[in-house]
Amino acid sequence: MEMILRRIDEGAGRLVDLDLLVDVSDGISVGLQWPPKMTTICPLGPSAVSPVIALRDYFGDEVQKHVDLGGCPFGAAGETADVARPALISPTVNPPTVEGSDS
Amino acid sequence: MTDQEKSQEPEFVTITIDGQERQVPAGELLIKAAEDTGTYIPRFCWHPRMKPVGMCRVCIVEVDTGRGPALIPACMNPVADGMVVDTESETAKKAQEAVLEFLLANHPLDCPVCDKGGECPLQDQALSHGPGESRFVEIKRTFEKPIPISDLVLLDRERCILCDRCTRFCREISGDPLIEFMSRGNKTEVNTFPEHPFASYFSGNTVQLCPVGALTAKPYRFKARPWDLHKVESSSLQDTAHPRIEIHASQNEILRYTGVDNDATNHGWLSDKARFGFEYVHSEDRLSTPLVRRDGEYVEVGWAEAIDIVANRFGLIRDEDGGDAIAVIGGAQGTNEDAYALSKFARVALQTNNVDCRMDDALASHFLASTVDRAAINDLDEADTILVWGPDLKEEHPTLYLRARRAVQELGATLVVVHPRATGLDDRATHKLTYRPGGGFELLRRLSEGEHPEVTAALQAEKVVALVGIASLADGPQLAESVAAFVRERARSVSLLPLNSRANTYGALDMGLAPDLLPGRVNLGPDSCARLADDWGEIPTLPGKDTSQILESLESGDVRGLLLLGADPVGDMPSPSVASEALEAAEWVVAIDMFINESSKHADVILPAEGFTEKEGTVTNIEGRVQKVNHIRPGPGQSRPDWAILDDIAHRMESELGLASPEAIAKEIAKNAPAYRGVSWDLLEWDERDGVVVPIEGEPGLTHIPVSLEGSAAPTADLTLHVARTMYDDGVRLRHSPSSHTLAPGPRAHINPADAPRLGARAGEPIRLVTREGQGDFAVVLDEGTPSGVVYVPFNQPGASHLGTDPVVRAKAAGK
Repeated sequence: MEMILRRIDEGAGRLVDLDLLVDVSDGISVGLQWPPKMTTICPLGPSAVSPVIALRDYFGDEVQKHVDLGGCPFGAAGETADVARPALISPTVNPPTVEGSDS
Repeated sequence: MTDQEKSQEPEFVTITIDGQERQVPAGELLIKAAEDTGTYIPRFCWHPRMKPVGMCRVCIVEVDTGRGPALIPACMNPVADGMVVDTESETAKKAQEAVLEFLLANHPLDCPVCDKGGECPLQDQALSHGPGESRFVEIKRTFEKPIPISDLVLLDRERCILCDRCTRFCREISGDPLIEFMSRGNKTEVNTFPEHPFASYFSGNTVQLCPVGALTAKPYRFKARPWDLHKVESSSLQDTAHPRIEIHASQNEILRYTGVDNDATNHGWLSDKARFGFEYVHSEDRLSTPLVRRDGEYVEVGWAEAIDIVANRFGLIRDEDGGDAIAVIGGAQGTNEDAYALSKFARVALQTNNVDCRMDDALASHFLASTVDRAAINDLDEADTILVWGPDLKEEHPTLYLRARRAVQELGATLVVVHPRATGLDDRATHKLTYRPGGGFELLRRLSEGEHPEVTAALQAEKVVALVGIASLADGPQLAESVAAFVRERARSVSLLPLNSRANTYGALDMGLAPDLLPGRVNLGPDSCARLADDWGEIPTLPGKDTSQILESLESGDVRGLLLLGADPVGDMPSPSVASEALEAAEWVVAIDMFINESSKHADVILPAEGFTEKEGTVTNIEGRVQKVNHIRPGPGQSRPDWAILDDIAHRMESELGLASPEAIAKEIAKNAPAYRGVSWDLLEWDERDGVVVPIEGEPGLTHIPVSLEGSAAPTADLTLHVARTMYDDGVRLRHSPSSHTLAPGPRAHINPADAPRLGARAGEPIRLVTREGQGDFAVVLDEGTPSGVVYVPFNQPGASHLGTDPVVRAKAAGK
């Protein structure tokens, strides 16, 4: 998921990628609902899923723009990223963590 | 029916799989219960012989828990009454497809050049349960590939799907956990520990277990495509338990052996020797034409001429000095049919009882053949106490080693190991006793006087299985019998397994290849000879000479002619000089063999024999289990099966053996060998059963002879010599199998680090060992496993001198 998100952020996203992300998440937490059901016993599973679902539900347009423009609509990656640039994922490369939609 | 038997009856529960009600044994894992009743659930990590771990998640199925449906891995959950399972629900299928899509996200698609391609569970299950296409376009992870993790196994980490099968095998089954997972997440890999190669005697099993092509075997790599292989089932002769194998060949070339799962012997596992030690079959040194020595040189001759020469000379000696002047050594490497032919040939054509299939590993013939309370390998699983007083099972009896380890580790048996130094089972031993080589009798006496009460107590358990053999060459054969007698006396219920190391010794002895036995575990005598008269005619009734007596008589001239059949006394006897001098002095030596070896090079005539994979027949393993061996390729050149050669020689000597084919011989065995009554090839069909343990009907054969506990006194020297076999040595088969031969440790002397200063020894440097019978230089290995005061030298190593059986040894600086 991280690799797909990073790819979208870098401008190589495809239209199907958001669906793919959601589908992968569905494999971790079936039905994508809260409380999660039919998941693995691992409590980290739903936690990994929730930012992706939030991304779909609340930032779908932004993702679409990333894909359409072939890059970040809010400025080049690596620019000052404080509050001005709501990157999909943190521009830092290490450590590789998915921090959610509004870092 | 007793309560105990009742509790062993499996209880059945009713579960519903995909809408069908099924009766399955209670407590069984869902994945197994489903498979046994006709529903295959995909799997990578689950293996019926190992504990489930639920690593791969592909066996996810939907189960109605009563609190709503849940996805659970079928390999981790036992069945419960009323369970409702859907293996093909939309959710379950989606989960399975997702797992496969994930696995393929990183798995390279180099299937066209992958050894596993065509027999790959990942390929197969991607087709049957996978999504059909991948939506991932990310770059796959890469590793350096392949890396050799041992001398025989290569690892391609890119292909690895992290199923934990190989690592689990090493932890749970073989007991040498030398490979393990490393790193985390996307970077997880299987690897060895730094500086510790995957030097396991059982490493080949991980290659067979691997559900992808991540682990490959050097001898098979890039040799064939699985769908081109011609396959036949057989029993391996490179392990005393005769593990069940499948021989894979292409265009008459043997390419690999694979283990076949079975309950009786090996559970599907093979030692690397049994798995990879087949290359000798194709060796260029194989004999392909009869050779006759003329003016000191071997000359190729035709079969008719060679048979004439052999028959005339044996006939001449027999007519001049009688059959007592002829002797036969060997027959333990072939099939029962060949052994029977040899036994009959010696008695009928040569008129001699100077017959022996045993070499240095000479537990007495009656002890091997007549142990009426002989244990089956499966008895280990039921045992409360297992006593191993004999060779290191890991080195000499690998299948027994795995089974004993399982019995102790998984089934909770108490293990008592008695051996002069560390053994492969020590880490699981409840009690371990060591003694100085040659001091076995003293330890036995002390035990009988009440020392080590914990050991004696362990031997009084409900079910005791004792594995007894020759732990050290210095011990001699009587010790094992005395240990057996001691255990019989002390234990409440004991079954015994005498350990002998040569391939088909048990079969050969059962066919009468001993100076005092006739086929079918029958003592030689006027009565038993008379019973054979129909087929055998008149044969000598007095016991003949055993191998060492034969060798002595060859030197003195009492025995003039010798027939060696697949035997190499010079290479195999602890005192090779005795054997080579005897063969040198012998008037007439004929060898039937696959190779020219240290012994057959003294022969006047050498006849080329067919070997394993080239002939059909039966063999008898250490527990008395008769199994089939099958042929898959023709022998090289003009080589022929032993029985046919012997039949021809007898014919020229004007005594007919009447041997027509292996199957016809098998029928004659069933008729003439009481212990083999009722054994037919039809009974040995692999599909039906894993061979049969003889006797299947009638009397159990000879009864055992009581033995005293007295024996040779313990040696008093400062330094005693422990000589024992290792898995890889300089035996003729291994010598002609390049990938295995290099694994032999070579001339090594293991000493305790505490002894090093006293002996002036430094690790890796040579030291000279001198015994009464020989001397030689050995590279020093400092080894905590060898007790102080003992020097351990592996037997029959390439380039090593033989030191004989005497335990008294002196160490000197090398080269002096």
